Amino acid sequence: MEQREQQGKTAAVKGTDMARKVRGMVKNIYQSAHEAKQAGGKVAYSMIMSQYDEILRAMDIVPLPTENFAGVCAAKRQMDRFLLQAEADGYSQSLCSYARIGLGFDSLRKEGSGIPDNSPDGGMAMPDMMLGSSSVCDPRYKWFQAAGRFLDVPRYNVDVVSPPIRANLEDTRDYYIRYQKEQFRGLIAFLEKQTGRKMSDDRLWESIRLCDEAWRLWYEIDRLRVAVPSPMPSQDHFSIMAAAHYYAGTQIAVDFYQGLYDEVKYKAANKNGVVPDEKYRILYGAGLPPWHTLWIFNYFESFGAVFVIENVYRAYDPVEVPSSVQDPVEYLAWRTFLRVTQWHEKASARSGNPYVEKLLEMAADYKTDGVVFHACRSCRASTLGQTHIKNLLGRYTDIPMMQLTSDMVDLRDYSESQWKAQIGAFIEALAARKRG
Amino acid sequence: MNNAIRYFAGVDIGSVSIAAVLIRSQKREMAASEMIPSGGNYKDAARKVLNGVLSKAGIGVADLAGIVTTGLGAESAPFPARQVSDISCQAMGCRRLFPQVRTVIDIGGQFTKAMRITPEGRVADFLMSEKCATGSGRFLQVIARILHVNLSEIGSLSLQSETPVEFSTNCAVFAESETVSRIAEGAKAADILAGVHRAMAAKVSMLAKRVKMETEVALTGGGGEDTGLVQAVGDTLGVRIWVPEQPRLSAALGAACLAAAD
Repeated sequence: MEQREQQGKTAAVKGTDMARKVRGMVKNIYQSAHEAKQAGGKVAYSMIMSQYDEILRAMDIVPLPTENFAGVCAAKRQMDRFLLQAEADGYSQSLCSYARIGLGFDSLRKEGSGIPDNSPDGGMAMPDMMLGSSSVCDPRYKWFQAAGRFLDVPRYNVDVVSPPIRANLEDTRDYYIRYQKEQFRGLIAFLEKQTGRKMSDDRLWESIRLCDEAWRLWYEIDRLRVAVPSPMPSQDHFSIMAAAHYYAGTQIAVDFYQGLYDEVKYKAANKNGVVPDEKYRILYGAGLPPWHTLWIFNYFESFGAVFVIENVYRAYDPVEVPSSVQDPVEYLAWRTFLRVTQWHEKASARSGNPYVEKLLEMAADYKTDGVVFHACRSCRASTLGQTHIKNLLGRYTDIPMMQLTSDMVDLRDYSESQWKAQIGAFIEALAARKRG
Repeated sequence: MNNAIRYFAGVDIGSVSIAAVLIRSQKREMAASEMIPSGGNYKDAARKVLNGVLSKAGIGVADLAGIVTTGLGAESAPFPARQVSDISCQAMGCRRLFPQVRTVIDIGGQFTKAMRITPEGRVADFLMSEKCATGSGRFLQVIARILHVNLSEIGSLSLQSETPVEFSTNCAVFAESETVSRIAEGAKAADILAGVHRAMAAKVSMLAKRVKMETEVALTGGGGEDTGLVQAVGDTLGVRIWVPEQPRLSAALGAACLAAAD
């Protein structure tokens, strides 16, 4: 009953005009892939944060982000038939629901010899290749291995380095960078074989330049969000991230973030907040967003609670690669290493946990009154350790924290009445702390 | 100075029962209480329970200086009232009953909640059970029905167990079929109930530990009326459990206290 009542009420009201333009950009991701196929181009199933975005752009390969498709299905409440198809094929409900939607989609495509009818945004074009990665979690390469049941296309997995927190990075840095460079070189050789074309270093540099500029602008936008009242809420973040991740290495992403930067700067300067009376500032601490129920952010806002910043999906601040690096592939390897280790030093000096260090810094910079975590039943990567992080965070701050539980796309794990009850108690805890 | 007695009401509209508590302003002592089954119409039941408690105290609505509603059906109240979450109300109610308590476990019909509270009765941290019947009173209802035992009897019966049954599942639906199998194997009702209590206690205790439980611990809600469950939770956590005389009234009591604090 609860689920039926919420049909057609999944999206959140956005705070910025630019965020409202993202829907068209997301649709275009899937449209571009169909058009590329018709024009004889190459399309690749891809995973964001795999550090290879610019390589694909430099080789005119259209990335098809399969995880995003799952999010789109959930936001439109059209995920059930794909989830159930995957489960009918034997994939457990405890496996990543992004993967289950993708596998269910490809299973139905194979069964019906074409894109399933009425697939959201026209569905995913038939890929020419699948590019997994070890970044973030194992389903991001196991998924494409499993998809081999339904798709007879070549795949390649890239390993992304992940040095331990207490590693002596001075001693091991060169090894990690050399290894990462070899990984990218292997991918490039694979892509050159698939496309029959050599990659141009000049085009790769250009793509890197555009990607770095877009991510720098995104970082600057988030720095503007320290303003009180908040000029841009988290529900906007979960839309506008599309430009950086799905248009990485393009002028489109740069132009988009420039526009958003200007808008957020104006809002911050004019104290044009998300809500008329901002009472509480919330940090979205961890966990993938509930794509099935994004309006929940507006529900918080009805109590004057605004999600002002989040530690999801913009995983890295800008890093500075030494100017002596002249090879674009080596640049990517360096940048990867610097990105994944940028919180190691602070973590070693205090909590031992980079995630906690980042949250503490955010809580202070953004003057947050509370932290909300979202435990996603089928996402081990973003959920395992959340309780530990929450407890560790509690050693350094006394702001109220709350963990909501559901899933990023599987509505069966969500209970509206439970969430509303928890949110009510959380708001009361925020109010009590403010009263002192 | 106005020394007139003022009354405050707390109404807890839960999925199983609706409770109302009336307190007097002086020393916030309980003047009257009332509890009825929720039934299918929260609005009518809430009106009925409020009228009932007012009647017991011999006063009318006009004598009320404030009302706070709480519980899953708080929005359904047919009278003007401030809404407060049942988590905050439980915390305040337990503080009123047991000032020494720092952790509250509330086992209700739908959910189980664990909360760590401050000496002032504020919620420091809380968790709710997952979308799963095993951690709620519903689980006990299911098992009691299969065993043909009244809910009011399961506690004392469970305490008679000598060899509690080991349940191999954490799912209420599977536990139902497992119970049927155990009955067929000849297991005693007392041993089955003790096994169910142990399984529930394990789940409930996990919640308490996740909010970094501090002693003393209170157990409220319908689960508090089940002496077998209370003992199992106490054994699992290794602490003494404080239980209100009327465990299903504590949220309404907290609501009334919060009404008085406005």
